[in-house]
Amino acid sequence: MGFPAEGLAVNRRSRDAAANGPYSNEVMRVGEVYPMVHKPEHDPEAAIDGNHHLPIDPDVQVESAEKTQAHTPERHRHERVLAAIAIGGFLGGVARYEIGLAFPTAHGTFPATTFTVNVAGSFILALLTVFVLEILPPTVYVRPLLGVGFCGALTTFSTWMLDTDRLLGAHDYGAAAGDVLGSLAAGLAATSLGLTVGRAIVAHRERKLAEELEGAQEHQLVPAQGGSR
Amino acid sequence: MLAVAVGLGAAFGAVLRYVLDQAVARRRAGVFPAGTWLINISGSLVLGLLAGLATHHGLATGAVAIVGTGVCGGYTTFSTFSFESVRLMEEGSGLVALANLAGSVAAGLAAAAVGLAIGLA
Repeated sequence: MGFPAEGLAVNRRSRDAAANGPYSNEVMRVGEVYPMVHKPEHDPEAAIDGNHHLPIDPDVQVESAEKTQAHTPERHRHERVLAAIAIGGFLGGVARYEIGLAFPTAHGTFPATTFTVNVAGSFILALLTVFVLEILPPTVYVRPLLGVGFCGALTTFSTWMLDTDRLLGAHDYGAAAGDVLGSLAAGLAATSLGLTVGRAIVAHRERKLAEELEGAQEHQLVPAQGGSR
Repeated sequence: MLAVAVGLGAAFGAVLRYVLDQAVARRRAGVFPAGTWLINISGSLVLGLLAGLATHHGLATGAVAIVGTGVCGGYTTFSTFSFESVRLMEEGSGLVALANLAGSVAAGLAAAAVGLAIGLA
């Protein structure tokens, strides 16, 4: 990511990333404003690259966040997460439906509308996942609402498959191949772009935070870190 | 109003997706995104079936919209499929990513085709 590990105020996520490994989800401490003063004991790269703790499955998140949401009874939180998913799913489904009505695919033509919502949804999900894990205040509901719910419902795998089968059935093999390969290429690219943009924004923010913390230290407002340069 | 019904179908599909994905994740170790795979394949099967039934046996367009565009569309997901594939590649599991991509597409096309065939029969 480009900024130095030593001397950098390590934020809570980087510390948790080091502690919990690459598949852990956001474990955010509620109420913290300034970066942690403790450096991670291991994996200094976690301080550089926040994506070490990006999950592979963007839907898995609630279990680890519960430790930090102790004020909400677990069963209520679970129900609220489901409600958030339902609301997001409703919005994503309506959006896809309305967009499909506005830009219908004529029989036998390339299903550009489905392609577009799938690619757009992939970008949004990737960007959002980075934001939720790195920038947004701790919350259990944003990812279910916008990620699992909205992006999950906005995009569709089944329609893509049926569209392609129909093209194959109509012997339009070029369009079918284009639909499969094009959607894969564009979708993966959109996801990658979302991750890249999100991480760049995070890196920029963390540089700013580090600069502010150094400024505060120089003016004796905040005690200097142990072990920093 | 139909849009609202479609939305409700999608909401149901999304919640079902989450619950199933969590259930699969609890039972399986390993990095292959089996939950998403199962969800996408089963949803493709159902959508194919629905399309076949609609074509051959006639279904109300509203019902097709609610169950197809709504439930199946909300249930299956392209964004999660893409995200998981990219993250697998980033984490050094490129072969698993490739298996996910190829396996999902192959099984998905087959499932939708089988559903369609059954629906048309």
